[in-house]
Amino acid sequence: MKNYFNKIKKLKNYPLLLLFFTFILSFTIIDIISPDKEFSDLENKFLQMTPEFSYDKFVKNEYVPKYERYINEQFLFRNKWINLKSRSEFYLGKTENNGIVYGKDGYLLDKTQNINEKQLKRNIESIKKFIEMYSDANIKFALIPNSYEVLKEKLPLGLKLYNQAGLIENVYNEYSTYDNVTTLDFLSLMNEHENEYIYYKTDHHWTTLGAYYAYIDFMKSVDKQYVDVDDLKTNEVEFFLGTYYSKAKKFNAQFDDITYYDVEIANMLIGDKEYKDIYDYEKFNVRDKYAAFIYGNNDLTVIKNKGSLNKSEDKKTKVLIIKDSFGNSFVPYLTYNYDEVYVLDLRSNSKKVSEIMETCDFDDVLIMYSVNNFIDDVNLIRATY
Amino acid sequence: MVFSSIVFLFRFLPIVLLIYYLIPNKCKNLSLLFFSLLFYSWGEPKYFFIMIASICVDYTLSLIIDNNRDKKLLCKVALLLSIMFNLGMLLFFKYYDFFIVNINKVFGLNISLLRLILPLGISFYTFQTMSYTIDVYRGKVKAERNIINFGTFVTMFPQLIAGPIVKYTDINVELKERKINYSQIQDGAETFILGLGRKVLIANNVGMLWDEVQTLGFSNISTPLAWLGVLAFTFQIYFDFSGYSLMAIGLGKMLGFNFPQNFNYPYISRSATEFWRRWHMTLGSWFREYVYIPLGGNRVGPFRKYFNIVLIWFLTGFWHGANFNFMLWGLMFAVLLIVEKRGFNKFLDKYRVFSHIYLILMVMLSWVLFSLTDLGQVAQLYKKMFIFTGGLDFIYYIRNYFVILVIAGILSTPVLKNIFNKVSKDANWIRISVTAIILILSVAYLVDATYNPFLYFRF
Repeated sequence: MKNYFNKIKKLKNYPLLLLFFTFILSFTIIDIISPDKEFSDLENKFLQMTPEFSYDKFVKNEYVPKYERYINEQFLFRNKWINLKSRSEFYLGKTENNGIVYGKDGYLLDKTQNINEKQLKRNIESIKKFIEMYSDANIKFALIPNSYEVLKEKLPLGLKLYNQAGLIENVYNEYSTYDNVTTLDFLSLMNEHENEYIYYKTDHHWTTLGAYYAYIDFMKSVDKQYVDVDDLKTNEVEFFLGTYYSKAKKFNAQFDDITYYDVEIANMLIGDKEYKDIYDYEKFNVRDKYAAFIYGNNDLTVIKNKGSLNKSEDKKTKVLIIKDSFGNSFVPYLTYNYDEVYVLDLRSNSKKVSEIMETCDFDDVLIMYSVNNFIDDVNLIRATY
Repeated sequence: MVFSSIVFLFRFLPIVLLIYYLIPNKCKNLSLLFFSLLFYSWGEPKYFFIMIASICVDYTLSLIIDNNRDKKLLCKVALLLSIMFNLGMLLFFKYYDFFIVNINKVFGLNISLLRLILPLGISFYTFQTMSYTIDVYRGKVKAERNIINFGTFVTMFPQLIAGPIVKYTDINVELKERKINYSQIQDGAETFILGLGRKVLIANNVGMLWDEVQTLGFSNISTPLAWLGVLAFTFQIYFDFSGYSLMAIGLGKMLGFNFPQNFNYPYISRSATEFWRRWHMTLGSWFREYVYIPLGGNRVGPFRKYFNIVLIWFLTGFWHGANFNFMLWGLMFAVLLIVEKRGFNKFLDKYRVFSHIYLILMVMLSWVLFSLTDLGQVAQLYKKMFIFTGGLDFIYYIRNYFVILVIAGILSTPVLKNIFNKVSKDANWIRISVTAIILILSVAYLVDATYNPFLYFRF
């Protein structure tokens, strides 16, 4: 026993050994006993929870990858470690992290350099088929440029990113022969306003203002009067950190402000659920604030309005918008122009599009995707079901 | 499992070490064998049985050899079986598909491929066990009678998947009796941390640059960026591999084993000959001992001598991967070595600066061959490197990677290590703090790891 004690006493002559073992042992023990977290606010994602072990899963190698993710994502002081990495990258002179570029004036920008050509082709074809299927419909098609395309001036010197302008032109050309579809030139529109706050700094979406310019453009294309934002009551929500921040985890990122306008509606139906408001106000208090707009991405959302600017006596005016999440902050404006607004998100769509198209007689149909989503989204094919 | 992961650092390692240090010496090998098998099967439970087969076959055949010294023929047959078994495994898992693809191409056949996942570390442990049987046959060592000891040697987790290639004769004494003391454990911990830092902080970081250059596509980049990319890979492969070897050596030390050194600042070499004395040293010496010297080495006629060099470097290249680019990579070094042996080395000896530039240039060009399995891509990159294309794209990447490239450059030379060793005599705390910072930063990078490739899975 005395011998044993002496051995331990001698340890103090080996500081590095002590340090190393204290470090890995204490972290291991505390990490094991500390409770797991379900959600990471910093990264805006759900974390892996304890995976269930079974011999079968182990042999099929389904257990180990999950377990490793679990250990990584639940690691003690995860956010502090991430912050430390972000800081050291900063001191190394890095102007990017995890595929997000740090642009000028606090703008975080997506670093798209290559695209999935195959999926893009498939998506172009799906929309073509949709246009052919509904030759009587009055379809507008719009691709929304992502912020890095419009805010080129904010990119660091020498960084070449994917050319969205060329892609938009090519896609639009594919549809130029059809009479029932008009393409909307959002790129020129956004370029005109590039010095305004039209894209979030820390999020991949356009701001409510960016969506507003697009809305005007759409209204002009369908020959309808548009609402003036100056007539609406404006609300600001501060301290928004979006998806780009979640990826890059930049320790000194600047906050965004979210603007929303008071919009009065009769009701909003998402599935069988009825809502009185078009915004999910609770979401303005949490990290993922953008999800407040029309309650995030849902299957089919039907908004009935109190009175539209373009009231027609004999018939209800209806619009269908097939969209990605960029559409969420765009939709509120439409409530001023149509009696009923149908919003379809194909990513969570369980209803058949053909059924909706047949039962409702839409005045206008708008298909609107951001370029990056239009390239990658595997659900566009559902538009033809 | 790989060393550079949170699971290894904060689950596997502390548990293994704790148990290993607490149990009596008699049981240490058994626990090591058990944990090594767990380590090995962790990601690929299927291949557990290959490992067991490997242990049993070489164990039995070596015993047969050792017990029947007077029956020359039997010994020969046993040795041959062992070599055939080991090479057969390697050929089957690593090269089968490559041969079939090419046979199909040449003869217009349509034999189907197996598309097997390469068992972890198979290139390393087949070489280790082969050298064991050969050494027993040669009478250099007695066969290991304790199968737990032998199994421990074959599977020992520190060096199991990426070397260094540890011959049985390197550690046979330690396998039976080893002293583990504080100072050795501390040394081991320090070596391990330095290796971890090399891998996680440097290799992963510069590796991203090489990856980016690849994603941009060699036809879309400027000539300066092409060179920058190749420089990045040059650092990545070195820091990844040497970092991993260092981690292995450090872990070995913590467990009471002294593994051979695997890298000795290869990029300060002044000739290809010297480079191969400093790069992946255990592989080089393995080929020398078990192939080159049996073939007659350089004590043969000039033609045969050069043939031997070509053969050895062809095999060295092919060992790295089942593809033509690896063969070409090996052959490129064979040519350099022969040119140097024919008298170029005398020239290199005279011009210090030139010889450094020559070597690093040749090494960088060789890494192009090494890193790209598609020969069309190789040609494209060479073209980009030597036919000038302007552009400003490199500015962005220089800005992002300048600091890390400079650090990598400095750490490729022994300068810092010499300072480190001098300083530690008077101010141990500097040494300790630097090591602690490296450890903490490595963990931070591992927690937020979006890029942590393991270059040796295909070996």
